[in-house]
Amino acid sequence: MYSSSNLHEQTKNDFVKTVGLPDLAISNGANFIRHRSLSDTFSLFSNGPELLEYFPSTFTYNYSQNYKNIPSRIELE
Amino acid sequence: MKINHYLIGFAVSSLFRRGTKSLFVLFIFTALIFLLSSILFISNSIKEELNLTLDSLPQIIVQKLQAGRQTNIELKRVNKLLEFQGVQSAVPRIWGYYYFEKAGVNFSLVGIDAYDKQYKNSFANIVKNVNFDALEKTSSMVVGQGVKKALSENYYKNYFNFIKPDGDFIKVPIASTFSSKTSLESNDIILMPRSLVLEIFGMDKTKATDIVLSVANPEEIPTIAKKIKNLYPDTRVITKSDLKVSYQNIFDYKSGMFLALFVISAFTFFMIIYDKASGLSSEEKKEIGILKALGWKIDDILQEKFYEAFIISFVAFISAIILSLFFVYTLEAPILKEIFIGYSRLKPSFDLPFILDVQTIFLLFFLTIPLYLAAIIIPSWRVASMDADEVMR
Amino acid sequence: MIRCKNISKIFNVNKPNELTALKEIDLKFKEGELVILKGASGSGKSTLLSLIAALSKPNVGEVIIDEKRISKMPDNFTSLFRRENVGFIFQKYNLIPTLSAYDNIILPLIPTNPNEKQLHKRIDELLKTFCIEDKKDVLVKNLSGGEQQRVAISRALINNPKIIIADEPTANLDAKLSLDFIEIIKSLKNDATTILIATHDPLFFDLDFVDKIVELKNGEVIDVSHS
Repeated sequence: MYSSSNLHEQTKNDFVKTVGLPDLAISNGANFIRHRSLSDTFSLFSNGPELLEYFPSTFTYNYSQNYKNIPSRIELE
Repeated sequence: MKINHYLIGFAVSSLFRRGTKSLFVLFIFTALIFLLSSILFISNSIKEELNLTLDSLPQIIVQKLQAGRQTNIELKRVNKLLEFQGVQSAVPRIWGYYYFEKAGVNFSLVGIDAYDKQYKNSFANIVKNVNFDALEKTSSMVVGQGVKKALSENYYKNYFNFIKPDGDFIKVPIASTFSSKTSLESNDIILMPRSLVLEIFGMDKTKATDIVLSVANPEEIPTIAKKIKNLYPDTRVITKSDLKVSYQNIFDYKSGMFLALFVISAFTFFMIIYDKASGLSSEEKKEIGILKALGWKIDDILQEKFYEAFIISFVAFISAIILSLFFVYTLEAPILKEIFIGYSRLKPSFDLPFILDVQTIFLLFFLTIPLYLAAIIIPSWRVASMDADEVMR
Repeated sequence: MIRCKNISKIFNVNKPNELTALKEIDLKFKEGELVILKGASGSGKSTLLSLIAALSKPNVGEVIIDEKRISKMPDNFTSLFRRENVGFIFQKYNLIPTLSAYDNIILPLIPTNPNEKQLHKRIDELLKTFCIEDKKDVLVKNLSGGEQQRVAISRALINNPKIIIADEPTANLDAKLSLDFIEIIKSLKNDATTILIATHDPLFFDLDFVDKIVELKNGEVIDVSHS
């Protein structure tokens, strides 16, 4: 536990500035769930086209849903 | 109004008289609030952690998409991007994932423009025992705590042999590790000069993973993003506000696991409530009858029942909140954190920023305590409004 | 003054097990009177007492006490009425077994948020009168029948009631304790308290200080004798 002291915050910010990548290192089971804000909808398919997301953290942890990255609306009958 | 301490005393003694039942309710209530509040505290802390560093992220990231997948972007686009009005700098980045088969782990490799002076100050802060001059001379890497651990478990104490796409080895010494304060961000990161990353990934030297832009006036970011998209229709432009949206979606407990957990525990809670509400024991009924016969008004009886229910639910609530604060922030949420860390083989320390999330506490308070009070008071009211004679029978 | 005006009490109205417990009872008791209600079990004595104490309401007729039509009053008023005017000694005492003697005795006063000093004084008096001072903190379920009854009487007297109602008070007592109880009643009678006792214990029938004996049978008054 830490209370977000300025020094602590500064260290974290310095790190993020250096690396420049978003998200936390708590989900790194596969390359498409780390830095999810930067990953694209279809990167999952590099594991296999029929795959559904199966990592526990992906149920809680979403990728960027900006307008260029909305998942496919094509629905299966 | 003067507080009637006789009535409160009677309520407390009633709770003690029904010891087993009270303990049971106390236990269930505490367990439920504890579980819910722990999860909410964790997710709030993670949000806080992300928001803490949000401002340090790049303003615009330009990726190239091909066949719906992200591919490397041509370096010559950097100059084109620099020509946009308002763009201060455009820096190509090299980064990606390296799969370490022996440990079954994905590392995040990040390249920087050699170890030059611009990093000197921040490195003093984020890297342990930094010897900057040594870093400058040799092509070595700085790794996260988790990477260090995974490597040393596989006998790579001081260096690591990366396997290039052509099968050759490339030996990179480990210069240092990142400060443990940054564990949540840096756990799986390997930082090294970009030339090394290019070699390890076997990437074309004329390409980069993505391009990072900084813009003088933040107001212009959306306009510039639109212009880039027009110039290069095959790109995906991610602005800081997009990252923000993504962060906001993180641990959105409307979805998946959280919903399931929440529904299950809420359901359990309602079952218990229903069980309690569906009737008082004959002993309790008789007691209400006796009190009424002795001249207690319905309000008096309900007031007593209210005290009883409030005392037990409030005690349970407070102890659950204290327990879960201790559990999450001191013990770092054993077992429960697995939900958040999931499959990841490189487990970061779960050293979360402490925030007393008053909103969550109020939410839980108003979701549970009034329900419990109602479940106690409504059946008591039903009994208390009958004829005393009938109830005592 | 207690006035029962043509009251009838029917249980389970319009059901196959309908039962008329009291039929057109018309009675008058004066203030300070000691009245014995006599009759076999099932004759309606207890029902009549609970109507007078407003623990239930008659189907027909009304009960008027001191010009208050208590059988027509809403629930909260009858509770208040009982708290201020009535001491009820139940047949099975109706004590709360898991509370101590002391806690049982103060029960009627709890909602009034009593003054602690006065309360202590009053309770000490009562405990002394009934010789249960040493049983003060004993749980009622661990007391003997006689002691329980004395706790019940103390509880009925704690609010200095104008009317005392006792339902088969000596049913669970031996001869000695019954005589003790009669002594208590006698001293209460001297304080000008109105006392109603339902009993089939012959011990009560030829006491010289009884004012009225009402005999009930199958829910009807068959005899009222004045002594």
